[in-house]
Amino acid sequence: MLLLIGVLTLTACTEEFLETKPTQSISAADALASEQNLTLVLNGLHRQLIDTSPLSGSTARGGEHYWIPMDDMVTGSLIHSARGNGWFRSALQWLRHTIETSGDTGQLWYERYHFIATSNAIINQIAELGLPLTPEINNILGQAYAYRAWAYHKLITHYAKGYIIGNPSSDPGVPLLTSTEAPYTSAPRSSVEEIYTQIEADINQAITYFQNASGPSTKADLTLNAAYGIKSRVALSKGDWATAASAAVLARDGYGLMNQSQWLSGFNSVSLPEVIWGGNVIETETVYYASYFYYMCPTFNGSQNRGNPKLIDKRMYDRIPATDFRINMALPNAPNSNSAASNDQGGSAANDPNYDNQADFLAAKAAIVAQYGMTSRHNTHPYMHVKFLQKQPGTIAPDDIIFMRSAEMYLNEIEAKIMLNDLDGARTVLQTFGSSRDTAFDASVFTTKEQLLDQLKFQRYIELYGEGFSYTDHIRWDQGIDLAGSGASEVLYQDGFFQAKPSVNDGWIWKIPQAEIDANPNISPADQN
Amino acid sequence: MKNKLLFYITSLMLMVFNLSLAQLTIKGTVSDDEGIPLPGATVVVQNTSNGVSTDFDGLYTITANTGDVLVFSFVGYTDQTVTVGSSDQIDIVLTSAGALEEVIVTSFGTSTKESFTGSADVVTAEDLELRIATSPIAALEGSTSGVQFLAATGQPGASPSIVIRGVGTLNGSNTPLYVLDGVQFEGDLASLNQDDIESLTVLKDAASTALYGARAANGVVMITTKQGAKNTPMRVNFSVQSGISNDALGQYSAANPQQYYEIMWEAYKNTLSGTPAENAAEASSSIFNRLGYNPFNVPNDQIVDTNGNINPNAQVIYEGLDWFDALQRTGIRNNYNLNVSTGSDKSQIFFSASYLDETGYTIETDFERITTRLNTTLTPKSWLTLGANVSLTLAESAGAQSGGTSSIVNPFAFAKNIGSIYPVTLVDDTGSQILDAAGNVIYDDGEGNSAFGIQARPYSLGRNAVAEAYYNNLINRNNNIGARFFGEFTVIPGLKVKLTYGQDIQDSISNRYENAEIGDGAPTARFRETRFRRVVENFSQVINYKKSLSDVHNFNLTLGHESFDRNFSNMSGFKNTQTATGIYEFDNFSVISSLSGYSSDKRTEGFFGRLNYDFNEKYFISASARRDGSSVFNKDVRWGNFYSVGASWLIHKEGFMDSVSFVDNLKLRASYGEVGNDSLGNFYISQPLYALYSNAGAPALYWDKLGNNALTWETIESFDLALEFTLLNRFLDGSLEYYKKTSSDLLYNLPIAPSNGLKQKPDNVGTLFNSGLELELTGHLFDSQDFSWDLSLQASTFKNEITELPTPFTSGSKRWDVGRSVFDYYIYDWAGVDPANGNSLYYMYEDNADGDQRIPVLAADGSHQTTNDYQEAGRAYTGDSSIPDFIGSIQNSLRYKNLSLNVLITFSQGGKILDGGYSAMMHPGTYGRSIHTDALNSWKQPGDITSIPRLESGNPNQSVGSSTRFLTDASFVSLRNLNLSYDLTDVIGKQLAIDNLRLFVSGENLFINSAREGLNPQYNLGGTPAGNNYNPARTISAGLNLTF
Repeated sequence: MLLLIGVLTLTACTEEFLETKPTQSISAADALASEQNLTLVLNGLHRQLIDTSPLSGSTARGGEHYWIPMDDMVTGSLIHSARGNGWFRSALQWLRHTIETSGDTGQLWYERYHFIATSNAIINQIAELGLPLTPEINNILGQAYAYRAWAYHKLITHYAKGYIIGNPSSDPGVPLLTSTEAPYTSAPRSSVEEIYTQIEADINQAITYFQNASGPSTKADLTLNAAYGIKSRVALSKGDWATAASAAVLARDGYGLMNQSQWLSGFNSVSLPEVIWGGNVIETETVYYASYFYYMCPTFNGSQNRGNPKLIDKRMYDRIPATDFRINMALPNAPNSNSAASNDQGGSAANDPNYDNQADFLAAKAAIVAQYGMTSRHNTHPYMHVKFLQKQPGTIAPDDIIFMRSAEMYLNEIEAKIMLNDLDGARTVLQTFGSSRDTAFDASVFTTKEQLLDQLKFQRYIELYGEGFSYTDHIRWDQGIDLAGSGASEVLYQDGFFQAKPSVNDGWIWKIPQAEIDANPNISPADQN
Repeated sequence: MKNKLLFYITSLMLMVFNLSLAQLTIKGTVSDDEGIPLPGATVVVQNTSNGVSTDFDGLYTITANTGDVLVFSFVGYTDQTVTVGSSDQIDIVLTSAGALEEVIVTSFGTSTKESFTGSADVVTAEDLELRIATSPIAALEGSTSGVQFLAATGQPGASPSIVIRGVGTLNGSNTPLYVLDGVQFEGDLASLNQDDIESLTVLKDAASTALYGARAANGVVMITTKQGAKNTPMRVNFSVQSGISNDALGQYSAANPQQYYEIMWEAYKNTLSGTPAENAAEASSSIFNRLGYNPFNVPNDQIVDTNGNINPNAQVIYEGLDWFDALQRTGIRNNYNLNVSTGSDKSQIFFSASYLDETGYTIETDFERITTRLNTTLTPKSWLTLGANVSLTLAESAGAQSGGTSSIVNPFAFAKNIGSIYPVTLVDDTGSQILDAAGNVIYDDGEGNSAFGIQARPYSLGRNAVAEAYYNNLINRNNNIGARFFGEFTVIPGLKVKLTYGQDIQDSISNRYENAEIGDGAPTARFRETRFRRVVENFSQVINYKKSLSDVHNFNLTLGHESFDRNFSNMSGFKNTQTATGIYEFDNFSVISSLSGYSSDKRTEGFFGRLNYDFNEKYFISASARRDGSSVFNKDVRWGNFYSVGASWLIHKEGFMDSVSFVDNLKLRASYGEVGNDSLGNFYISQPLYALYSNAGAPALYWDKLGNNALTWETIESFDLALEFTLLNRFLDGSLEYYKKTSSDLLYNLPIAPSNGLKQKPDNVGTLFNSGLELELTGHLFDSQDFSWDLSLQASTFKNEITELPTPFTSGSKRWDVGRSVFDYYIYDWAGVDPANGNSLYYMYEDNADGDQRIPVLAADGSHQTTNDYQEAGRAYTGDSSIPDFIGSIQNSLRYKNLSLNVLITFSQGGKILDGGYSAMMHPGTYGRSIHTDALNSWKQPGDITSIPRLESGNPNQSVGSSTRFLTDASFVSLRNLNLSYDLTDVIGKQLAIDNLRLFVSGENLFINSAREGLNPQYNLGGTPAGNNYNPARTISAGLNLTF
């Protein structure tokens, strides 16, 4: 009886006692409740592009810090000079994306789908709330649709056969989800065509919203220009050349080409004038050794670079005319100071064919160290790039990452016009672009389509070196890998040294992550790539 | 029990009749059944505060009235009561309480072993005395049946973990509820001083745990600290232990430098694409370039000949190739303990203080602990008892493994996985260690040393775990404050109300400095400090009423309410770029990397009741119920109801047993009940959440947790049936017990397809059960004045089966499906080595037509098809699991005169381990990594019959860790403890007025025999050791115990 009375009197305050709230999070309902909070959710996506993923079940990869260099390393475009400390080694040996249990395979998929799910939540919530399309809401919707298009495009270009080289209407793509709801059974693999249809609808929708949207607050925000940029990339990858060209022009509207000093400043800041979209990494949000610059910047003070400066393909570099300031993006005669260099020519003048005495060898290294602000522990190597340089060389301080800049849009337009057989149009744009890098540039010497295409590929390699375009470029151009003569070492690259072209080699298609096959009732092991 | 009944009846009569009678002065002696006087025995007039204790010769004098009841008691003996008649001389012989009178600490009360209807194992202070371990939980191993042990790491201050009666959850915690002096304990078990502990009681079935309802899913361990006994003189106990420790397991057998070069030559040669002769020549000339270090006295291109044999002249000249040698030392452990206890009729006091100083057998690992406790019980009025039990533990530890086992900083992984040709420190051309100006060695960062022809190290370039262990600084400081207060009121005879409030506070400061020279802190150095405070408050109100009718119907009713509140707050800062060296404070670092802080709460509230009834102390019934609410769940589904019923029958008290002379005691008991579990890691798991975040300094949010408002209690139904017996005039006692625990609505972070954007959804899914048999036998083989020998055997079996699951799902190397256990391996099925080419082969599987089973792919001839591509082969159930068939222990207790020897052997039979420590060393030839000597037997040429595939650096198909190739028998036998002691009390103690003086030598983890050297078979329940942790320590201690 006593207890019963106790129970009754206590019940009210008991319920209050048992109602607890976290301090690290807010409820999903609150997070999606207001225009202001939806902006914060978009900010969260911006940050995830440049952070080690905060999601539970993630592996220690730093978002675009990781994926951008990865796409260039897998193709041997951004070349490792030595075994280094192991980062990306198995990726460039083709032992990552080819393995369904690898962290790369699982994480790229997971991150992209997280972007899709978050975009879905924003889009669906605004529809549900019936919020009026103010400029602010248009901006939010534009970014959500643009992110969804961007994420699906990243997925379809990695986990499925290339659009141009395959049969898009029958080739399996990726699951298509426009909402995340119980019972969370996801979806089967849609065809490549269906995914592209969704991507195009989304990016067009984004453009519609952006046209009446409030302005961006930083370069982390997706904008009308960035949306056109994504549209251009999407069109390029499916061979819709006309759209690729027209969207590229709209994307670069307002963004000029950089001059020599800007170009050679190290690609470390989103404030560079060509930057349409990029991530600003500040000191309190550094990812330390999971950073883009750690993986590839020759001055970054970490063992990855000290022992493994990254090289540019010498076959491409050697084509750079002396009048092109980009000839300064690499050091073809840097002494091979690394005794463990994979080409077995490192350590001293005795091994390095470029030097006949140790004094010159050491003096050359000292000069490079002094010029670029490395430390004496950094190694140098012939054809090491110096395109990416830190704002504070020789440190581990963070630098920005560039996701999209106007030069890419010039190159997209040139390529699209070549493919459209608008050779004059292509030459005109090529002249504008080329002469901004090379005072002696003359596009008129490229008379045939083949010559133009060859020049485009050369320009694209040099200009966008290290910016993460190589993987999809190879697939679009149906170009295999043959690193003979590039400066890469076969002993190091193993299976990555030679790969047949994507149209005949399904090794280019990333494996669906095992976690997806395990948990998605609509995808079985038989559906694996 | 009987005397207590008399107590109540008599007190009732006294109250009713209020008799006033003549006073007598009564004298007598109290002795044991061998006629030896018992000094310090208490004699109390029942229901009064009038009491005395016996002197050194067992004599007492007390004043009492005719009709008073005198209660004679002495620790370890059965109480006796005598009603005062006309005689003024009452001599009493107390009989030893024996095993069946053991007091069992139960939920919200105590019981005797005889009347208890539940299942429990008790470890007493005497048992604990044999075991020299920092965490008292270690003493449960070998003393309890049905309890699986996961070995403590060698880190000083580490505690083992235990799992009671199998894993009843999927990914909730398997940790039992620890209740310290009646209050849930969340602190570090190693913060408890073992010498403070009176008993550890493992409650295993629902009947014994149901009063903890919501928190009892994994069983309950009741820890009771010592208190002063009533009416005892002041007694001082001092003990000291001093010991040394080393690695109890040893390491996997790694190839030596000569073997290493031969194996790597083979692995390199097989990657080359020329003719066999070209490949061999290329491998011989450039294998050095792949490995980077030449530890021999022969030129770089002449280390291995073109037949793959090491140059016979190759002598190792490098110094310091043994990383474990550099990492390890002899550990030292010193422990001092002092306690004082006393009690009068109205007060009991226990005070203790201890100091433990332990340096681990790995460099830079230490633990230092100071504890003190004051436990006081005061009875100011006959109706009022008040108590306080306050303790303080100050602990400081240093650990080398700052980044966890997956980190590069982890020295154990580093030392295990580095090839045997790489020195710890820089060496010169002659292989001698290079010293700096101060004469110290210089650690090798592996980034090459062209002056001495050393290339970059292909393993962990830029790192050196030994150097980082020395240069970094990781200190954890923990203050634990524990307080228990209670007041107990006797409202009317038999009716008591007890209020208990407890609070445990843990304050922790963790400093982690990473140096500027090498590792993740380079080049600026960085420093993290994390502080947290955890406050656990527990408040209970319990009403207890005892009533006996007609002297045969005995009732005991308990009603109560309990609330629990756990608050955790955390702050962590991280800065880099140090100013001065040697200062490990934030002021010394100039750049802020991060600053974070949060708090969390978990609360539960419960109402409960229990009724115990026995008929004539022969038939016992116990029933209990509890209603719990948990803050973890949404308010609509937050409350859960739990209950239990239990019964026992003391068969030996039946008349028909009188003629069965070989049976001393025989008890049959059974129980059934339901308890619950609300633990799924995160306290806010049911709430859909967006986490607070930032982007370039601006506020942000990200979608973090799916949540599930319907998430509710996991329920564990438990059935228990046991027979307890004592036979042949107490020659043999033991028990045989069967249990079945069925867990339903399993709490699980269900893996959902990552394409949903998050990977987990918390849910209640499926049903599984655990069942087993537990046998405990103790033979008192000899028991004479000079020699006694007790032999105990314990054995437990385990079965685990999932009986209901909506869809199967895969978790690591296991897959959960109906009819399977939680621990059934679902991995690649290795088919051996193709003699033609040395390929690793895997049996192929495919989905059946329904897509719910994996079936073999058959070749045209009906045989199971194989392939070298493991991903194409696919995974399948292999018929193996990590669950042992049975585990157990054998304990010998021998005493000859004053010399005692205790030997504890534990064993486990059956089950498989997926030996990750081994597979990591059986790679196909990763340059720089250590390799197991088994790789010497790899396939070399067509026709070779071997179980080791062709080595080929970088070929992922040749070695797959998650395959049946690396399943290893999990059985082991271990000499867990040996204790030899000599009791000097009779020899010199008496002359020095010392009550007890004992010298001892004790060894823990002395020997283990498992399937492979280096393997830790008690690493985890899933059987997936990576071989990269701080191995358990073998400790040998000597010490003395002194009581005066």
